[in-house]
Amino acid sequence: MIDDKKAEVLILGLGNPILSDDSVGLRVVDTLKEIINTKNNVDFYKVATSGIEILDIISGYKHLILIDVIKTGKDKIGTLTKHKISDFNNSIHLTNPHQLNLPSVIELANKTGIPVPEVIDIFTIEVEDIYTFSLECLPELKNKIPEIAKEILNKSGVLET
Amino acid sequence: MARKITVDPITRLEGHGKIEIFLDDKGNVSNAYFQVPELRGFEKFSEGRRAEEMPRITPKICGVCPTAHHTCSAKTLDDLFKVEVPPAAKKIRELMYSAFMFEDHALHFYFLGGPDFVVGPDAPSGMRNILGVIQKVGLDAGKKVINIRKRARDIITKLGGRVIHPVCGLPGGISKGVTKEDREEFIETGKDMIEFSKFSLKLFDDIVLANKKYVDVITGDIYKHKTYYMGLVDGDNKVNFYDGMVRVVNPKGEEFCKFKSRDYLKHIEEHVEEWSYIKFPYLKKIGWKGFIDGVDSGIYRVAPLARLNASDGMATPDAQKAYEKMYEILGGKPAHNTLAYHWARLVEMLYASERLLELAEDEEILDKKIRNIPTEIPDEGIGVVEAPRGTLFHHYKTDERGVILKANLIVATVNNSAAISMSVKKAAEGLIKNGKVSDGLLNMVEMAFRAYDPCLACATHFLPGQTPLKVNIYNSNKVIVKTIIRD
Repeated sequence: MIDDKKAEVLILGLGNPILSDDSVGLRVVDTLKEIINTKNNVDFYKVATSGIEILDIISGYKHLILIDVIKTGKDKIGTLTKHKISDFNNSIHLTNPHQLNLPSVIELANKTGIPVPEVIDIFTIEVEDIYTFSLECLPELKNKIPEIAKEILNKSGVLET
Repeated sequence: MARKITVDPITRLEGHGKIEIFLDDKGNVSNAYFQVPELRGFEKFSEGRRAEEMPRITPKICGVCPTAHHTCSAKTLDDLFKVEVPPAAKKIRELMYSAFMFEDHALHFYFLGGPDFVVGPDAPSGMRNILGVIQKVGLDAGKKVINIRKRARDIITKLGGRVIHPVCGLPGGISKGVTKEDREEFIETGKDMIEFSKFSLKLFDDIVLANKKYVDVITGDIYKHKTYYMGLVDGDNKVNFYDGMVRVVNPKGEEFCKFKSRDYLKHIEEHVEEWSYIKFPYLKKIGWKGFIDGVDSGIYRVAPLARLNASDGMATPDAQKAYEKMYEILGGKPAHNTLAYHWARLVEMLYASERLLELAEDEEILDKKIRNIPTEIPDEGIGVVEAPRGTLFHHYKTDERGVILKANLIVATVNNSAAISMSVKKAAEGLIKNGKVSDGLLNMVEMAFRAYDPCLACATHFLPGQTPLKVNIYNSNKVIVKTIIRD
């Protein structure tokens, strides 16, 4: 849990720092922190979990920018895609061996009176290897991180907040 | 005509775990396999790193049970550096671990596996989750779940530094002690955890045990395997999550062996199948006899029900009562009913709560002596804990500087991998007859493996956070003739 929630905006990176390209979302958060570190209305957090576990983290913020990697095999490596939470509504009520989906987490929070962000932007970055233990990601992804970070800023409107 | 049915979770991860069911010429199940993804190169990743880094690295294997890896790794370092942990540090570690076991079990019961029963095995899959539970038992129950889990996780945060990946464990102890204020808070939380655990067991009584149909599903043959069982026990053979001897009982409940973690390689071997990345551990003295149960098969099970089966009881009073009640209703010990894992999980949740309170009320946890500095030259260390999903072994070999030469981990879900495959097969056999695939296949097969709470490490932050299921049915030419998607 973030103890000192002072900002309205949370930039949250999801990923595993020791699983090759899975770390890219976390790296993007690091870069964003460098770019907008003078702003005091943005908090940054990186975590390797999801579902109900992120409820404590996102609660209390007005605007959530969530950054994760994705492997569809259809897009070019490094492709950034912006989603809305409603993009995942078609799986809102599924159960699975481990977690709730994000819309279900929001629904659960709403039902139980836990404040959650009014605006949720979800960004995914197409990657290749998320199975190999390594502190390194693909060089082409690493090189593209500054560009991805700027694109996220533009698409989320966070600089205007 | 042989056909292949694949129950395939569609996730963001290509090659993710899936279930494959093979039919014989008559359209009946000949084999079923539970497959999980391969995370490559952990051993190589570890090599050349300082052993002290391992308690911070190994939790990152998995976002589901990081506290188990952290604690097991710290214990492995104690062994590696041949250093005794001061009593206060040992108790604080176990206190944190009890909070972790409680919150993880609560998560599984209310969010993951329990909804199969609380909401009902026949309920639409879309209702079998926490939202369905809230609809069934009321909003207040939902609030209780969220609140008490948060408070238990606050204990982990306070002691571990971070809730997701704790950093407190060091060779020879811990990095931070407990203040009087902390202790008061832990005591209050512990009391409420006990009440919540009792509330959960009552809920199980009222909704599951009071319903004959549910009890029939739990005790039915489709979800039963007579296997060996493994779990950590204390000096009185009572369940212990943090420390003790590894005890194995046979399918009749008789002690088969009892060993220190250092001797795990004398008792456990791993079988490899060409169709799976996952290994299949078995009892070395009996040997690998294939995917069969019984006294002549070396397949054993771990995790809540296995732990209770492998023990002589619970070390705390109310958990002991719950333990006795469970076995009385299930018809004695050991219980072979896979779905009773859910029930055993609640008994353990109560034990974790009572144990946490015991430890919090122990004044020794305020002692300032929380670490012994290692002075011995390291060479090899082995550690064990009971993770929520079963017995977890860490094993490191180092050079004289403490740099890792070799690391081997047997994680909880791997211990259960053969049994999970058997359970999936048995469920599929009940649902597929002469080529006819029942619409209930997905639910029933899912229930079979969900009882074990299998940990698919890389599913931890799958963006939609779900694992939709798809069944592909192939004809003998491997052409899909039918697809069932659960959405």
